[in-house]
Amino acid sequence: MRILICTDGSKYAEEAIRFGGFIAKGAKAHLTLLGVIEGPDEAEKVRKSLERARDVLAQDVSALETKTKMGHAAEEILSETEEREYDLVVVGSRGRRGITRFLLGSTAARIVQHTPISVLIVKGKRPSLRNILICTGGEERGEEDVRFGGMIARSIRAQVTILHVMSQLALAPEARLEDLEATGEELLERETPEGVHLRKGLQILRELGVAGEVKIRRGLVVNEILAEAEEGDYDLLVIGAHAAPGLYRFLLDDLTTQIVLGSPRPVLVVKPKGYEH
Amino acid sequence: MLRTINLLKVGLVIMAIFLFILALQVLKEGAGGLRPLLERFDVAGVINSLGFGWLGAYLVLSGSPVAATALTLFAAGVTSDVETFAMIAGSRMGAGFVVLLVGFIYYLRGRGGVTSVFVGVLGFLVTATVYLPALVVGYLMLISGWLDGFHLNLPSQASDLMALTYDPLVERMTSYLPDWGSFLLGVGFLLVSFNIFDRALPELDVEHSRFREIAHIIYRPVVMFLFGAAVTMIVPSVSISLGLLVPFSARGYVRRENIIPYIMGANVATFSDTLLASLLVSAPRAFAIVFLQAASVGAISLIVILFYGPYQHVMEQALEWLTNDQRRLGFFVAVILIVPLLLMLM
Repeated sequence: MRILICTDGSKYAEEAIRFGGFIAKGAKAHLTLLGVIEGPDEAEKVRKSLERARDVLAQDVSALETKTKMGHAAEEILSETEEREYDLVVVGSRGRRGITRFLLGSTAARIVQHTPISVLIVKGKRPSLRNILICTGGEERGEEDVRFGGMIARSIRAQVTILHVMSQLALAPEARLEDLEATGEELLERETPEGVHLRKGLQILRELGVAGEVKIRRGLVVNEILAEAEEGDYDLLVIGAHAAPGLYRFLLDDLTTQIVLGSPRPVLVVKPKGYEH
Repeated sequence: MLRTINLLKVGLVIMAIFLFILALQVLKEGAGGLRPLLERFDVAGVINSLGFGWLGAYLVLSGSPVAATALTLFAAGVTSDVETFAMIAGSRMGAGFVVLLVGFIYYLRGRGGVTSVFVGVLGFLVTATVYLPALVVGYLMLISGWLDGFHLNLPSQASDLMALTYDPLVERMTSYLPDWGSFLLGVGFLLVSFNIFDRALPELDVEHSRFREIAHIIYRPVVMFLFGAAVTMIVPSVSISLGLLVPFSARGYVRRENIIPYIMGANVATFSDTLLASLLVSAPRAFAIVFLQAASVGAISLIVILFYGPYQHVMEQALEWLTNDQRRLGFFVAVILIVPLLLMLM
């Protein structure tokens, strides 16, 4: 696995280095540390950040290199991912909210939207990385998200909860209601489309040797994912970003960005192979 | 997606339109017959009229026939512009409750769990939160005289043709009937015309379509708003418009995220037949009244769509609060059932 961890010398980037470094160590990954200097007065801060990171990670990560680029953070990170092949990009997030986010945008969200590579956005300080929540839409394409999240979990010996949010409502009272009211176990037993997918998810985790369980919540997808992340005190959320072809890109809602921006916890956005924005 | 249009359906549409126009003319003729009833229950003013329209929608399980009837009452001089405006708003509130009532009856009969009422509760909440502010905005604009100069009528040739076709027929039908009898006959024609129109709706064959494959995906609110408006433009009620979504999902489900903007779009487009009725009743301000209502509902809906996240969150919490306690849900349904009666008799 090739991992790119990016730093601009901020305290958010320091957390990204710590969190990403932990995964790189577990996965025995080839790690590149990229320092991005946005202005001349930031060069020293970035240089020191890279030095600190190298000192800390050198003991645990055998394949480690550092690079420095000058320019706009999002642009430079995106160009680096185009120039070289990576499996995962790790960035810190300031977690801007409200009007600041509206005016300045989010570097993390921009990277997520434009790179075909999976992105880990590190937010807040997590003391450990033991509990992972993999959110899946109950479809075949979600299996890739479970696999990628499972591989991360295996490398750091974390446990996994697969979450599926049932946001469906019955259009007519005579519609099949049992599935909407079923528990996770019942869905698995009944082999509903969601049940089949969740069973497959558990099987993928088993094959990877990762302990996993299934959880069902009902409500709005984004709200329920964020609520579960908070209530379950998870250290990492894993979600999928699936490219929508042509016109559908303009028609479909961007739940991934909403979760990335709304979550106070680290979020790993898994991109399927061949993802194109 | 749409099967080829067959001649029978075209015939049904023509028949429905013919009956719709006939119903409006007969209703206009007999509208005076409703005056004693309105006087007996002292139905006057905005509040009473709101309740009257609302209750009327309960009786016929639809809003559009009541809205069309309200316009004929206005054309016959039985109700004022603001009363007509409130009556039409009431008819939409009543129609919004019909879906909830049907779901609740299913629930009481043990046919399904509490999830059977979710769409009904959401539909009513969305309708109420959009229509009640729109009622206030529209009412203030109406009494301010802002739209006094805004008239739209059918071209004189069309009016003449309509008079030539319908006047002898209406005269023959109503000459032996008391006014209230003509009114009831008109309501009957109206209901039959909407019923025929339902039967003429195109059958959707989405079993293997690409749309069905992705129907479970969450759409941008504005997309669902426009979709709801487009579908409802061709059907006479929001509940039928919701029913048209069923074939798009294998199990008859819809995403929570999609349904609110869809209902909002449907609530705006449901005025299409009432706008048509406002032209057909030949009363100068009728079109302005309906247009103002559609515009107010559209404007409030667009504001909500702009701040969709917080609104959706509040709706979701209200839905959860109302449905997680059986007694609370029952109380809510009972209150909504009684409210129009209280408004009418106030």
